[in-house]
Amino acid sequence: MTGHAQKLEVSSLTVTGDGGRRLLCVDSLTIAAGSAVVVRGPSGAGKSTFLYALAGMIAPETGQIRWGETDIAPLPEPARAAFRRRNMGFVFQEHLVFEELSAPENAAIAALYSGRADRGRIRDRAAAELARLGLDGVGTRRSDTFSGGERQRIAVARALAGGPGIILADEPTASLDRDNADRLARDLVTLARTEGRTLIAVSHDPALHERADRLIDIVDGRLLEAADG
Amino acid sequence: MDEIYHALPNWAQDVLVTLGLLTPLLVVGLIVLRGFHVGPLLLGLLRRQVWISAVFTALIAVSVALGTGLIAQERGLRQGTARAADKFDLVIAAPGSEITAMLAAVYLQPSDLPLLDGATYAEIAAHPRVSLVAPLGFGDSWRDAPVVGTTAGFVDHLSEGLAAGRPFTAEDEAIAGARVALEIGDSFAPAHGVGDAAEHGAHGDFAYRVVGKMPMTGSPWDRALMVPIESVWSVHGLANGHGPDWDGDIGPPFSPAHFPGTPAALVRAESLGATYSLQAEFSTAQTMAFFPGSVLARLHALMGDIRQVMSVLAVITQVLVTAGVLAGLMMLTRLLARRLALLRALGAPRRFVFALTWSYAATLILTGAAIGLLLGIAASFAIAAAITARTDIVVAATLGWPEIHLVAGFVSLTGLLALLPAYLTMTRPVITDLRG
Amino acid sequence: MIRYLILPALLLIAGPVHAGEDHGHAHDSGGDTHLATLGDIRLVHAWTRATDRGEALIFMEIEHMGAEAATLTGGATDIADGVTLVAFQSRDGAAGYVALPDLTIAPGTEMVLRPEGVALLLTGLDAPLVEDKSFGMEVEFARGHAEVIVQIEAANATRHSHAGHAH
Repeated sequence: MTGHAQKLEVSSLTVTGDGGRRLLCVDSLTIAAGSAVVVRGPSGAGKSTFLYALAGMIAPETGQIRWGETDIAPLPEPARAAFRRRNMGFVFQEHLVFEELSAPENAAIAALYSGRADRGRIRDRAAAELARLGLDGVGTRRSDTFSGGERQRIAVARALAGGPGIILADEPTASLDRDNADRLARDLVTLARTEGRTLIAVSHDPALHERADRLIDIVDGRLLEAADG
Repeated sequence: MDEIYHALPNWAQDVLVTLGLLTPLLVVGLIVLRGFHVGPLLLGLLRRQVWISAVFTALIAVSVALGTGLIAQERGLRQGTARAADKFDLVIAAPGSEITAMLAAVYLQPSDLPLLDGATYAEIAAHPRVSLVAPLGFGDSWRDAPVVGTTAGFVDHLSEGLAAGRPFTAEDEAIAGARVALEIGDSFAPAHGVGDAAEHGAHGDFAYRVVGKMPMTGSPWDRALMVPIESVWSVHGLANGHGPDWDGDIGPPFSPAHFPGTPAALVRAESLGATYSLQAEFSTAQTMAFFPGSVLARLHALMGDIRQVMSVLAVITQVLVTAGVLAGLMMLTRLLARRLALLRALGAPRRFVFALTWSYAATLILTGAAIGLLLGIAASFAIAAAITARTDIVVAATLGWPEIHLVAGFVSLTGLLALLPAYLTMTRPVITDLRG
Repeated sequence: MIRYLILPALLLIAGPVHAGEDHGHAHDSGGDTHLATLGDIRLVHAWTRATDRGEALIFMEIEHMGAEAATLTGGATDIADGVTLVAFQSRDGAAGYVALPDLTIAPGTEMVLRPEGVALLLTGLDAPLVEDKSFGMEVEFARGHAEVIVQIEAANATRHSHAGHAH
């Protein structure tokens, strides 16, 4: 089940919102397998829309989103969810975890809805990722007893537990203090890179920018390759 | 299939019906939960929404308790009244209303009954298939206890042996029911009439002395005083049932010419068949013969329709409460929307979110129904105690199969209804919900 | 479901089961199907309830005009395996029918077989009993038997639909 790093090819992608307003328009974009890319841009420019479209959570109006051999754009929702489950890990802005579950339970959440055969492997990987993130030996403490930084690391462990080839992150350091943000930025990029995963993060955090292989700017729903990328 | 079902013992049929009623829920549960492990998240939801969950569970429990308590109580009352009539094989009275005569003779409710005359009574007493006949003379009272004139033979039949003391052998002796506040050796003066209309002192200075005490019978007779029928006639200034050549021993035989009349006679025949033969023989222009058990059963059959309506109403009430709870759940699922959206964003199948929401609702329903059943038993005990205190009819408060069937049907029906809010959570917009 | 489809066929095969239309309301003729006699015993208004449960209780009025007591012992019919004389009994809060060996009917009395009383219990019915149809059965007395036509009333009936008519 461990996914391989996957090359991303996007072409002629358009996403429209309510009332036919154009939110995103990408003529062509290629991201090499295993690279770490950060997307930045002003608020409302379409960064999140871009990320959720890549994740298959928004159905584009036109175009292709090709991860490796699979174009997820025309797939129905259940197939896109299944693709996400097998190939992607997701880290959200507000350290979203299930507060009343323990750290290992949160990190291995996918075990609850994955096939019986995969459950043990997900739990083992979740434990290993928590250990790598310095969260081993936390036992069965409820997750709401952890600090924001710790919770976000639980979320990272959760994103990695399925062994995905792709990591998507939406402002992963935004609600953390400087120290925690730096640590998370380092952990995220390092962990993605050592396993050869493709990382795409939306972020305005310089700590992430400086670690990225490539920077992409979005302005008014259009991609611009950053000069310093 | 039918033959096999009818060949089964009753308990097996009841178990089968229960399983049959639960089958839809089990099938839906198995399909919905197949391949998923919702346990930890379900427990998490319950812990997080512990108060809302408790309130919803309590609502379901109370509605189930009311429904089952009511139905169990109705059956308990039916059985209790029937049990109280067990000793009254055949009652013969002057023609009139069987129900009025039954209420008077079996349940000691005050009423004016026409009298059976001496000749008729003698005819019954002389019948070769009659093993016991006793007059039942009502009308007097002591405080709230009816005083009933009868024979020692009837007291023996009703009590199956006194709890203490001996049978009455003289006109001024009495036997007290188990709940009468008189002990052996106590005296009391009978009042004419019963309740507020009773005339105290109407019978002069006449007083009875208690010589025996009955055991509990679970019937209104526990609050009655039984005295020789002769004394009832005597204190009313009538002949005492015996002619001039009377040897002075109270009780049968009575002289038809000196028999002032009795509102009812209890008859016991040598066999069940003989009882029915006697009923046919004494269903004439002068006499009415009836089985209190049959009259009750016919009354209960008549009320069977009401009972069914009651059961349906109980189910409807419960379903309405559950519909309210499910509507609440839909609102609750909006509160849960962000967590459900997070699951979807992580790649959980829509069906998993559906399963989680449904199992949450099903848990509330099952827990509520189980607590409701227990509450129903408690409510049933409370109502039974109240009925027994008022009527002296011992009402057994037990949970029976009809209640279990009712709850099983309710659980299945609402379990299916819970598919609706579960479906609605599945259709919510993921990204909007995720952003809170 | 299949039971209901094969029912008409069974009704045709089962000899004594008459179609409802076959017996008219011949109140004024000797051929009244509501009435049967055995010497000075008259059996009137035999009826039962529609059912598909394999058992049925038969009720009727038995008027005994003779001088000697008669003894009802049971009955027989082609449409059921057995006929038992039963009587209703309520004991310890539970009510039901128990078998009677026989029932004496005193001269000059009318014995009414009715719900919550004495009845003849048919067991092992070949086919469901359908409302408005009727069937024949023998009612046995110690002195002989009488052939009655049993009218099938509604499943919740409490009396014969012609009860109260004079015969």
